[in-house]
Amino acid sequence: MKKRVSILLIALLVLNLMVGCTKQESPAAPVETPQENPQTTPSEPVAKIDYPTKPVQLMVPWSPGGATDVIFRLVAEYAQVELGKPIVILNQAGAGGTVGATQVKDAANDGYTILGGHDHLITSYIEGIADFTYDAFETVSLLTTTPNLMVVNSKATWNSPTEFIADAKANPGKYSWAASLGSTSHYFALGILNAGGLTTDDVRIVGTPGTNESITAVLGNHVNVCQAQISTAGSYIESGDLKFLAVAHEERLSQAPDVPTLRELGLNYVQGTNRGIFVPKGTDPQIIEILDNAFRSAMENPELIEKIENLGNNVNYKNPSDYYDFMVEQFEEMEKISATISN
Amino acid sequence: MIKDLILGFGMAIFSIVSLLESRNLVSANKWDVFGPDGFPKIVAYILLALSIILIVSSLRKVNPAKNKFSLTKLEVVVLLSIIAYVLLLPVIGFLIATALFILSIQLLLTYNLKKTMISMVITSLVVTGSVYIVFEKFLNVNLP
Amino acid sequence: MSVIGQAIAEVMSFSALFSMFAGTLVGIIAGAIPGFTILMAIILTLPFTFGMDPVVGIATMIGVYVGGFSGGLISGILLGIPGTPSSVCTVFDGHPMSLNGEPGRALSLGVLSSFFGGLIGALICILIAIPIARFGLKFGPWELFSLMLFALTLIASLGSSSMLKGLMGGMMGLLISTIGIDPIGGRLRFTFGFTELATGISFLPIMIGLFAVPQLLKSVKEIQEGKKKMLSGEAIDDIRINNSIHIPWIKTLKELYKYKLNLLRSGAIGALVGALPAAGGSTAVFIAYDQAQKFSKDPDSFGKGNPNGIIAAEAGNSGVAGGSMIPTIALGIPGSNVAAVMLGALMIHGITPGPMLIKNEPVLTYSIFIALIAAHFIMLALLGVGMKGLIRISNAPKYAVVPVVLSLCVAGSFALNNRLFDVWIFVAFGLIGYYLTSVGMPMAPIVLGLVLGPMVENNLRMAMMTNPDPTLFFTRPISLVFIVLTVVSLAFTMYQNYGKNRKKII
Repeated sequence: MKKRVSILLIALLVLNLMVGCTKQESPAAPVETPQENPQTTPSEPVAKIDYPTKPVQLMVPWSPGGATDVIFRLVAEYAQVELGKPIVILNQAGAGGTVGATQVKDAANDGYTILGGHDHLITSYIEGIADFTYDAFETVSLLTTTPNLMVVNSKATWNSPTEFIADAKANPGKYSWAASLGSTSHYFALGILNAGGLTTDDVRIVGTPGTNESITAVLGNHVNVCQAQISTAGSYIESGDLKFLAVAHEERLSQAPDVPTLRELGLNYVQGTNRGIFVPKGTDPQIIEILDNAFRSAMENPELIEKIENLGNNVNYKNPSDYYDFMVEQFEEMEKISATISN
Repeated sequence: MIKDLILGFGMAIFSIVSLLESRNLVSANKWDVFGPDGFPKIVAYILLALSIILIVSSLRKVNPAKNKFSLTKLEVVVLLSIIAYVLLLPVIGFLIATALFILSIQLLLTYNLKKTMISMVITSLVVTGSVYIVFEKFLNVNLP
Repeated sequence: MSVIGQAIAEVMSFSALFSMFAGTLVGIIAGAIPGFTILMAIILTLPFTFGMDPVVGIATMIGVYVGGFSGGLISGILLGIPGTPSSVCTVFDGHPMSLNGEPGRALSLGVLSSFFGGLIGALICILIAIPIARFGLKFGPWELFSLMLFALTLIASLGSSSMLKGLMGGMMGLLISTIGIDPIGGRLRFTFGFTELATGISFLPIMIGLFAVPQLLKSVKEIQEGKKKMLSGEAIDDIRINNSIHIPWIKTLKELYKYKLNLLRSGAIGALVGALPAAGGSTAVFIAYDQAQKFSKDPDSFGKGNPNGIIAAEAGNSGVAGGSMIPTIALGIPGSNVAAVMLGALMIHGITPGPMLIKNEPVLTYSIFIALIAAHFIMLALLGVGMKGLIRISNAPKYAVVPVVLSLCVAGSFALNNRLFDVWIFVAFGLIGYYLTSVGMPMAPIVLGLVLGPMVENNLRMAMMTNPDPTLFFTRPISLVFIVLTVVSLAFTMYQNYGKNRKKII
């Protein structure tokens, strides 16, 4: 009996040692925050915080290997060099980005859990999928803007959106458009239809789980149109399976100079997917500044710029306050679109 | 048989609950002919039908094969320890909880206490340690 | 010829081979641990591949992929717990065979079937990738729905126990798969206010809960029985499996030759179904297993240790590896979620996947083919060598096996999403599984329902959204084929069960 007890005690001791040695890396370690000292005059510097002291988790609320995931992984690789500590990507897909976003929203605002999100924060709120929107977070840096394009099967007879719109008006209910309901691709479809004077009775919207599935459906000619990007559809343009009808951008893309903008064709609609970094509300401004510096330096790195542009995205950096204003603008835009289309 | 009867009722309740809950779901709208509630409802109805068949058939069976659903004491203890283990995970951390868990289950299940004591302790420590290392270091998983 | 030569040189280079070895080993281990999925392993390898040459990087990931599919058979056969979702069918016949004292035979059957099945998949990929991929595009939601319907009918015939209970289990699985955000409409379903349920219940903790807990508790029961004997005065040793560690490689090869039709057919099914972008690996395995049972002269012995069951299951799931690379390479559409990560890796390296991949990057493409083949040889070598050691480990005393496996399952469930909730799912379904097993409900149909649920529903809805005309399911040729197959399959199952052997329905 004694032998058993003593062995158990030794075991516990060993365990304690092990636990002690590893506790330094435990995620429960508190981060120093500068003390609020009411007697400090504004000219006195606030205590510099020690951040980061351990790896930072970047939540990408989509599946690994997808367009958004790839962009954030690339940026993280360069940003972590500037930051000084590794940035570890965490994937948590679901609900068009809402599930992962919720996790970050409710996480500790110590700067060790950050979010890689995009306009879904606006669209999911408007659609009622999320009960929060971009202002449940602090904006850090806008990183990239990916212009969206209208894509059809190359066997289709239309060569421009106006031809499609005319055909759809003449044959209501015949054509279909694939999109992820409630997300930017849905708004894209609604925006163009609206600008062209069509309703969703004229062109059926088919819900798919994501961009890849929408593209596959158009490739197989089960659906007629969808939204895509250079990165997701470029190879099919090259192989001749799909064709771009138009791009929803202010000017023509360098990667696709033959594709007209919607504006040129008289359809006033500009839309892209804007990806950026967010942190939970109430995060210390110094942490935000450190993160912003790291990401801005990364976005200035010519190597990274080249890789991003090769994937069909444009580098579009904005600092925290500009990013916030940008989101406010976008929100108003999306609300307008949502209101004009009969749901 | 009683076992089947219980199962049948259990499944029936499950399907009825599902059906009731699906009423809260948004119904089919203009472009979504099926809607989020269509599929679950169909499946729940099928399940309900199947459970009724099961109930009916088990009532009709005159066979009094009354093998009760028996749960030995040891199994109950093991099951409870699993629950305790998971409850303790966030409290005392993965390392301690797992090591203790492995050790205590072994103690429960072994026949020859004295002979195997040392190997049991070693196993607990080694397994816990290696799982921890693999998951934390290689996988960047933050075990509690 | 020089392109192929270049590809061979790149893959066979020391660094590439070494990396592939490591990758395959990681894959095997990941596959063998219940609770660790191949997808997890691939995501882990991703950061390591950043610094590598793209060919080496992809080759490594292929190693992980191939290793993973085969690794699942280890715990499936030795412990009765599937290591990966695609090894669920291997458990049906592999574990009973092991319990009958022939683990070596079961393991060697599994490994060799994996090897040959995988090679078949790789060959199909290499030879006819493009036409198959193009054909796969023709599968719209109607075709996929009918295919899934066909796969669902397998619930009726799976396992040797009550058909009614199997169907009920399948329905239960289907219902559970609807929990969470509806992938098309984006509305929450059945979450009862739990935010953790918003993603739906992860399939993995459910699977290991349903299989592992009842299995392990069975061992506990055995120990309990043994204790009774001890109390009555007999001194006994701790229960351990004392299986012979002899592995009859030659005999197994001969057996495989005898059943070569099954082997070829299952591998092909794995490859072809795996080539469809929406169908998953598990679907392929179930279909392969079901076909083997239907074509067998002794269908009742399936689930009790029929070697054909192991052959079908393992050849099927390994065929998926090569099959899923077909649309991935030919069209840039991922054939599985693992392939999707591989595509992401390519993009990070600056290579754009798509139909032009073969043209723009011939060396890379051929390297992928060669890596596919090479990985299978590596897998065979690794498993062949390690087999005896594995049996030795599994011969460990049960009192140790139970807690160790349980804690692995707990760790694995947690690692999935870094949250405790999934561990609770594991515990909950462990209890549910234990109860259901004791009342005679087979676990496999539940798993099948879980796996197929989302695909069945999505395709049905997408089809109806595109065109509300339901007759399309019957007028589109491919869809019609599968509907006919469904009916035939159901009829045949009934014939097998009632016509000849009068198996009980209830």
